[in-house]
Amino acid sequence: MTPPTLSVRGLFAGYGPVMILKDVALTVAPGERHVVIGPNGAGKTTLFRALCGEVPARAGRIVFEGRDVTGLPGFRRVRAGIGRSFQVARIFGEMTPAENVVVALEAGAAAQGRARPSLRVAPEPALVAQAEAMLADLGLAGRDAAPAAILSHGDRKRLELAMMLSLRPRLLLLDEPTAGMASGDRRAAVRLIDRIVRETGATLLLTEHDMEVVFGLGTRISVLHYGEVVASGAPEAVRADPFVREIYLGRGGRHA
Amino acid sequence: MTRPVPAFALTLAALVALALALPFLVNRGLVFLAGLVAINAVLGLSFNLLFSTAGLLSFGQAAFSAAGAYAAALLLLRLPEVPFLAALAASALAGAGLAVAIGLVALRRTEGVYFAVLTLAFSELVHVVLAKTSLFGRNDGLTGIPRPRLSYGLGSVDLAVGDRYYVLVILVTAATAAALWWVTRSRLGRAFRAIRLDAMRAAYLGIDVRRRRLQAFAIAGAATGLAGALAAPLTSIVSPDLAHWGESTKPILFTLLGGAGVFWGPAVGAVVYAAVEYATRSLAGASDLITGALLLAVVLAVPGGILGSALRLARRGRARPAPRAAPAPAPAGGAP
Repeated sequence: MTPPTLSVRGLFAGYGPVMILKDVALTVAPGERHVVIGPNGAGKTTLFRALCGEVPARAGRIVFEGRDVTGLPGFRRVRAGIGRSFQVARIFGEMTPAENVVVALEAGAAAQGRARPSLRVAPEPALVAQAEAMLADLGLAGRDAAPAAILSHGDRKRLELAMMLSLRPRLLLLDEPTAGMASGDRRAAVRLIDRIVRETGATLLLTEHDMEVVFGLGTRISVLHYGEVVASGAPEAVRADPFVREIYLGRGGRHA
Repeated sequence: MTRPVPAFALTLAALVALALALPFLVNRGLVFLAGLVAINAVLGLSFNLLFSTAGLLSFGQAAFSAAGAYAAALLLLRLPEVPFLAALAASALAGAGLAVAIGLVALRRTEGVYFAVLTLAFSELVHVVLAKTSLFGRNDGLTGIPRPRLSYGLGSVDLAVGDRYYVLVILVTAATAAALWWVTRSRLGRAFRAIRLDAMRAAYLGIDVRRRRLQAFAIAGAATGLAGALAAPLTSIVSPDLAHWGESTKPILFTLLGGAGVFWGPAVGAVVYAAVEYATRSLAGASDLITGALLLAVVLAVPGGILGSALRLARRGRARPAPRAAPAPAPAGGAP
């Protein structure tokens, strides 16, 4: 049996004296699209940050593809094959979109020791071509000359996706990928993520607020409540869970 | 896009040609000054690699130039048989080694003002060590540093004669500037820039941020050490004052004066700074005041620095060709 892509056991994490996550356990199988939901303040973002390595685990184990990554800093987890996006897309605003992706490709090459010593001052043409193909694939072609800072909110998210995908991660961690989007953009984003996951075969773990996105993308859902996982299972089972309905889905609102 | 390599090579060649023509045009005092300016330009360019490319504000660059200067002085005085170019390489290594030692501690805190204060503290430590150690001549420093000979299989050149040492200074500083430019534009420089723009984002592309910052610090330390080493035989004396914090402020001033956003900015700053100092040299006491006031005026009124603003004006002029009866543009300093 192949090991789960991600296995979290007994995870405690928090800020200063405040413990946010309490004994979180989570298993993400290869190819799964796992969505973590929960009311505001449930600890979704803290869990996300702990998985990325941004917030240290106080106790517990995070195992990625059979390898314990609990003590690894963020950049080593990325090198191990975990890609990560930010809730508010972070890009290099002074660089052009293509340069943004080239930096990612060069970082990937350097991390794998594929970067040959070179006196070049311009990026290698092969990398530039790869970056441009990646941008074209995500609908960002032809914006070369201008700095990325002028991109719209949605385009920034797509550029960030392009940077992340250029490292060929096997696990994508997306922190509220549709936050701050209008509903039309949101549907387009869901289609894009869906396509990316199908094309790359990557495993997906995301936090999300919007129920349309949650049930549109997720093949498995975990519900976080006061820093604990109170339910985890197939979307229909989670939707039917009386406790989940009470704490989260109940009270009528789609956005809780 | 303009082709970057030829543009840089042309600029550098023009600067070198101008510098090498100087001994035929002006007196020896000014040629000596030009040598110091070239060295100062490298100090500024190295600082700017840290500041504008890697996003690190170092207040301790004097420690590295002093390390290079003392390394060169000791080798020239104690081990004159070491070839001078090897001594220069050793001085660059001394600068880089000290930068790694300091960087390993100081780079633990790069956010906010911590890094600046830590580098300042370390360079003051170097200052004290130089002033208290007999190997380094304590407060008196080391004097009588000779100008070396360059000897190779085919023959030897005595750099003590005429302007030969100046020529060497120009050639070595030009090579160092070229190396710094290459670092700025290379793959490594792109990683440095990514870290400056958003260290968190860079880390989540798999970039080892601390290691890259240490590399930037070491490279700048090496270039700064080399510049310090070139100055030792030029002035024939090294003293603990080389590591004084006041020396660390100079590359910062050159950079702000000339423009941090442009590669050659700090070099322009070094030239302008020297020109102002030279022009006010006879006004004892008032000289520092005038220099300071001028710096303040430029830094406050010309945000992009002299070169940065000049390039911006030139670009604007090119973008709007000959507007009819346009009023003369206001001198740099207006709102952008």
